[in-house]
Amino acid sequence: MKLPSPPRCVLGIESSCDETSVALLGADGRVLSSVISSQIAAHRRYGGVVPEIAARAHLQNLPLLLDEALAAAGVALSDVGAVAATAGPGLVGALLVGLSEGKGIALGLGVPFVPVHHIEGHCLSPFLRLDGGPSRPVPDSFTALVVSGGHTHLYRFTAAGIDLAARTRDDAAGEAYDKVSKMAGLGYPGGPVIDRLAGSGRSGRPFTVPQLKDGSLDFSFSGLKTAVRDRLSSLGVSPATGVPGDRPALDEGDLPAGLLDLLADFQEAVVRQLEDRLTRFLAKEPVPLLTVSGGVAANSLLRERLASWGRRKGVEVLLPDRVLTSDNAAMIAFAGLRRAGRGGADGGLDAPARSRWPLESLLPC
Amino acid sequence: MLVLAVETASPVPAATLLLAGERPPSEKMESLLLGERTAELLPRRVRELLGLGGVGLGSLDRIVVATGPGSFTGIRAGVAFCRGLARALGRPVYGFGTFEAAGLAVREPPEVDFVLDAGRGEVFRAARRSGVLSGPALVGRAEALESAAGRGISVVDLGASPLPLSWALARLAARAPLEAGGLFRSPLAYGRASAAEERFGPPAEGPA
Repeated sequence: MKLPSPPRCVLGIESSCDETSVALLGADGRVLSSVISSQIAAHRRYGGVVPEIAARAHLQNLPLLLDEALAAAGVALSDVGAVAATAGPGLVGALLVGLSEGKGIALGLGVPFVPVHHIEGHCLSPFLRLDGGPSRPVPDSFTALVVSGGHTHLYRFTAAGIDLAARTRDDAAGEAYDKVSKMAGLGYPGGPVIDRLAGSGRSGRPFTVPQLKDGSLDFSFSGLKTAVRDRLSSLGVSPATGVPGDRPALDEGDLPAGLLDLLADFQEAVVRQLEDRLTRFLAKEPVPLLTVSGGVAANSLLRERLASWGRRKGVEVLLPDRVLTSDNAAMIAFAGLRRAGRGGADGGLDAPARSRWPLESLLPC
Repeated sequence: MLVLAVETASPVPAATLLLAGERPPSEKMESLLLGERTAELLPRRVRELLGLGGVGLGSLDRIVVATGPGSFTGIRAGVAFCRGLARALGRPVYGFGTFEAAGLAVREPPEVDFVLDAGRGEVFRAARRSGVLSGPALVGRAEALESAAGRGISVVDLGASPLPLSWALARLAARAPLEAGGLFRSPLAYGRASAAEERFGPPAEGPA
């Protein structure tokens, strides 16, 4: 008796910044495996991501992660029916590693190659489940808030396409976390450490939520960063000058009085601004479903408050599993799965790596 | 034996398809300059090359790629693409240094300095003495040229006079023992650290 052949699956590759990731998804969007190798330690000394170091590490890590992902999924490379890799936006040198390896695999297997928009991956990440089940159904229309180190953007997804409803005018929310952390001498990256420390503080002197004069829903975080710097000086913390260092300058066991409360005030201001913009957006148009994704979607206060905002406003708010908030290939494979079969069977093999690539330029899916 | 060679490290990237027969010894080849947008169009160019040779991907026995020194981005795109292709086809992939290929492409004279632009007024230099290649090392361009002139040694600049490097790579791979395949674990010869490492030191080791 011939055993049924395993379902064909999608291979996803992500290498747009400082995380190398490989994932395998079933045809129903089931996550068969997802492995991520973070380079945070490698970049810490430089106070941020160094593109050349990132690209070298991707090249070194990718084959090992591919082995790991195939083994964890229990599938052979020959079971792969499509290959999806991040084509942008991101660091071109880093993107080219995953893109080139993905193209080589797709060409060799004779299967379609799908270049994926990194931010589309994030927007879709909350539809993935890590409990072994198929992905949640993606409706034709939904709203997506992406909050990360490079983005604080609100998008509308409809059957007609994707458009941008609001974006940050200056820093991204995640960037504000990193900068505040650096100024406070708490090291890089800022998100996890501030989340942890702010939990022990009490927000008593909240910062103002900025309102733009033109009534726009756009976000702004640079004023908040300046306000934090002033408050740090008044606490006697001299804002670090951006000199790279391996170790945080401050000892977490011996923090200046008032710093924890200041961090709580900072977090409160970030979340309040998000709530404010979402509430004003909702006043203008219906939001049946909102996805919140990106690195800052791992933040405890943000998760708690936006979930509660959704319950109050009657909006279904989907947050990704914490593992899927950072850059990962599962979301890339999922976006690729949805876009596979669009256009020419192999037109994707010519795809360039793009540092900039507006999500709004994508065709509807 | 049918070998596909991809050379994306030098300023004039190219690919070669080499059909090497053993008995009697014979060689047939097709080459293609990879041209502009090398990295993104690599799959298209490789298909064009296979079309020129009238063969399919499934006929390839070996794949080989230049591992540097040279263009950082070029090396990575070439290595990642060839590695992925070889893995999907279930064929071995080989890696040889840019200067190893240059050494085969230029057999005479036995004493020569090969140089390749490294940016910032420097070159990668590999020296061949009595037929034996050593290096590469990173040296100032002026110093490299002066020292060769002082010793009466000719200089071959890979940027000034493009060499058939992809053909040489294909030959090296065709001759290599089967077990020499396995680029996956061999280090690349970037030839220099990133600018950040040169300024601040190597990345810190430790947990994320």
